[in-house]
Amino acid sequence: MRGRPAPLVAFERPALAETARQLWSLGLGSLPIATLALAFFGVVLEKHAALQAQRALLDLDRIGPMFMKLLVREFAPIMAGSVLAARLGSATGAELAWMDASEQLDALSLYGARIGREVYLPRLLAGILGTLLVGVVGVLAASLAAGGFAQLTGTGRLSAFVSPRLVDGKDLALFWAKLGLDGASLPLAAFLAARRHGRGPRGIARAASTAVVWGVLCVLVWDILLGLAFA
Amino acid sequence: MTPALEIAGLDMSFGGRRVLDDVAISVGFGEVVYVIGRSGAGKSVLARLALGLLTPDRGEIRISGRPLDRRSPGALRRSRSGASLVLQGAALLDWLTLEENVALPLRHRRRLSRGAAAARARELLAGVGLAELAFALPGRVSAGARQRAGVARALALEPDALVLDEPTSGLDPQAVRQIDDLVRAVARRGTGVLVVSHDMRSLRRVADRLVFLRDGRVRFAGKLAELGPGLDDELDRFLAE
Repeated sequence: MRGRPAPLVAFERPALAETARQLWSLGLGSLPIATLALAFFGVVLEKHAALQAQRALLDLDRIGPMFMKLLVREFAPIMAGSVLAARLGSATGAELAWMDASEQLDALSLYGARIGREVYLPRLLAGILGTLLVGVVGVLAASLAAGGFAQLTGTGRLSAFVSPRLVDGKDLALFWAKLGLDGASLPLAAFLAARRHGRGPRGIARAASTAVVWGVLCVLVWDILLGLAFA
Repeated sequence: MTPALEIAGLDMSFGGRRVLDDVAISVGFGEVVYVIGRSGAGKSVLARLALGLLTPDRGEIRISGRPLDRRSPGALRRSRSGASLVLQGAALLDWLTLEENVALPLRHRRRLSRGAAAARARELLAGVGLAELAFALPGRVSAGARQRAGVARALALEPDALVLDEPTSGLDPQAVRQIDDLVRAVARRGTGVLVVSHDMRSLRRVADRLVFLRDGRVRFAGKLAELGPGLDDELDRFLAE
């Protein structure tokens, strides 16, 4: 891939079938693990919040709104981003490096297909849509799990964890911004990793691991920068 | 007569190392020319240069008399429309069926509709004996079938010149023979075929002429009948295989 023009040389219409395939494979494929991770995280967070609140003799009904705010602003984007950095980053990094090593990208260019339209844009679009989807489902999973756990253990009511009125417009703007930027950064990190390390089995493995590392770094950087901007 | 593919005065270096040095090869219509040489002799680089996937330091490539124009991606696409390349291992796209792979150039270069491209792709696959595997993914078929599908994809554009990079590498003897027969059949239709290979058995079966590369230079170019011992020690070793 070295010596190729930059992946996104022009704005083109992405190939829809390939976008759908990527969204299915990466976005929907990441839902089970992301949902499970965030549900587990919600339960643990609620348990510890309830313990601390009981010690401080606070009203347990205040945990729900605080939990939801924290989840939407901080934990859901960073956890969804991290899960996708691992899954989408490694899969896309390795796939692109393999496509380069097996000369599939050359074949595309040789037969008149636009690589940006057929390869890069579908993955970029699927990355953004998939991350948004995983983030939203993750919030639902975490709040339902935390609310359900609170209801079961008598430390709160389910409704205190799942009401959309618990978050304001600024919280939601931060949530969408973080997820959107994470979703765009992860495929881009994978494209760059594949460009840097492509060719040969070793290059493919290194592209996959580098894509994960760069993806996680992107998620952390966006989290800090947007956190400061929306403080 | 204008050759199907003409390579003249080609120089190419990577990182200060000269890979090809003043290489000149001509392939006539209906002719099969084999380029042989050890690994690292510059054979695959030559195949990629021939279709504009790499840019040479110096030299010219003409397809049916028209020079390869590298001024822009569009100009390159247009100027190489008379040639096709079967990359090493066929380079079929993993996520597309054989039919969709063969339809790819028809949709993107010929601008055929999805249905028309698919119908023509099935005809081409039938022509290389793969009609029943049209809907299989490349990962589900043998290496020989992948290679034949790669040839079918290259033939979709009815090229004047066809370049094949190591088409029989890693194939079993039966698959090698199928590819050899296919190469001969393509040449009989009038296409000029340049095969980059180190498979001496295929060469003896199929080639009209041979070009021997050593250290990036042409050490022998001629008909098989002109070959004899003593021309080049490395070529002698190839011939002894």
